[in-house]
Formats: sequence, structure tokens, C-alpha cells
Amino acid sequence: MKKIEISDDAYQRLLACKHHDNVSFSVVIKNMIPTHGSFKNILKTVQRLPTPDATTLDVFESAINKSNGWSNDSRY
Amino acid sequence: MTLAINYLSDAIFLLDLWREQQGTGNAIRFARDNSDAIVGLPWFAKGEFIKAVTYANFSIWDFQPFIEEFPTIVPTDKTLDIYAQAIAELRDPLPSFKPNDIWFIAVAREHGLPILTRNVTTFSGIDGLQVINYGETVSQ
Repeated sequence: MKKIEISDDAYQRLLACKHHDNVSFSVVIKNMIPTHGSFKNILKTVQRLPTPDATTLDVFESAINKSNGWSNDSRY
Repeated sequence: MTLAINYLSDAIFLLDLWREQQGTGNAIRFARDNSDAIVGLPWFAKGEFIKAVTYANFSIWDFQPFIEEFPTIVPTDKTLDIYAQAIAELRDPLPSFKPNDIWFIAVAREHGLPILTRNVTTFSGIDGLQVINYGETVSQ
């Protein structure tokens, strides 16, 4: 079956139908791809980001890793 | 709640996509091999990435089109229940888990989504969790 891309709005409308137990729509939805959030689009948008240097990437990775830690504060 | 999402990713995956922007690496390769798949970010992971944008003195507007491509998965009451259950279940090794690791487990379990990460050590061997190491994985 051919897969087609549809707008986010159309995809959400179809999903709403799926949630109403419309079986024929749920079969159709499997073969439709929302344009939002797919790797296909992500690969396009990542190309438009500024070109990173090594220092910037280190700052990013450090900031992300520091977000995900238990606090050293003894109250926690 | 049914999500039209195939994977959950952490913030490091976004960073790796950016890092590999000009070439080919494991994150870009995974994305190309799964081009129709949808990857969502839990709320805290998106927050981590946005915080890093700010720390690195970039304008959030430069990154917004990229960040917005990832649907944000927000917590529900069920997420909170599953989070509490995970804390109880993992109580003994809990110090080895960081707070956002537990949230990740809760969100993945709630929605039945695989976790896309290169931090596989943290999540390996946990019941009800599918972990995909994009650093090693070929096409899904």
C-alpha cells in the first residue's frame, strides 16, 4: 500500500476518527505519515541550524548532562 | 492515550543529530534509515536541550524550527503513578538512576514506546522497557 504525507491537521483529524473506533480509518492511518516530527523533516531542519564547533558541542553536552542529576543538596 | 509516535529520544540524540549535521554518523544514519518514523521528546528532555541552547548563548529562535519538529510528550496522572511505581521497584539501585532516568522509564512504560539513546547501560535490564542504541543499531 502506498504511503502518503498529509498535513498535521489532517492527521490529527483522522486520529480523532480512530479514537471513535472507526476501523476503516485506523487501517488508513497506518499508511499516512504526518509531516510533523518525522525524521524526514528533522533531517531537513537540522541542516538549517548554525554549524557547531567542538567547544559549542561540549557546552551543550555538559548542560544536558548536568540537567539530569540528583541534587548534591543534602536536603534531597 | 494513543500517541502517533514511534520512539522516545533523549536530548543527547538531538545534540548528536546536530553534531553530525555536516557528515554521517550513527544518529543521522538512524534517522535516514527510519525516515518515516516519528520521534517524540518527553517534556524534561526538550527542556534540557532548550537550556543547553541558552547556555551556549544561541538564540532560541535559531533552534525553534528544529526543536518544534519533535512532539513534546507531557505527563499525565498515569505518568505520575508509573513514576512512583518505578521508584518503588528500582529502590535498591536507585542511586544509580538520576531523576530524569526514572521519568524516562515512566513515560516509556506508559506509552509502550522504545527509548532511543546511546546511554543504554542505564536502561538495560529493566522490565517492560525496549531500549534502542542508535550508536549501534541498523535499520529498524
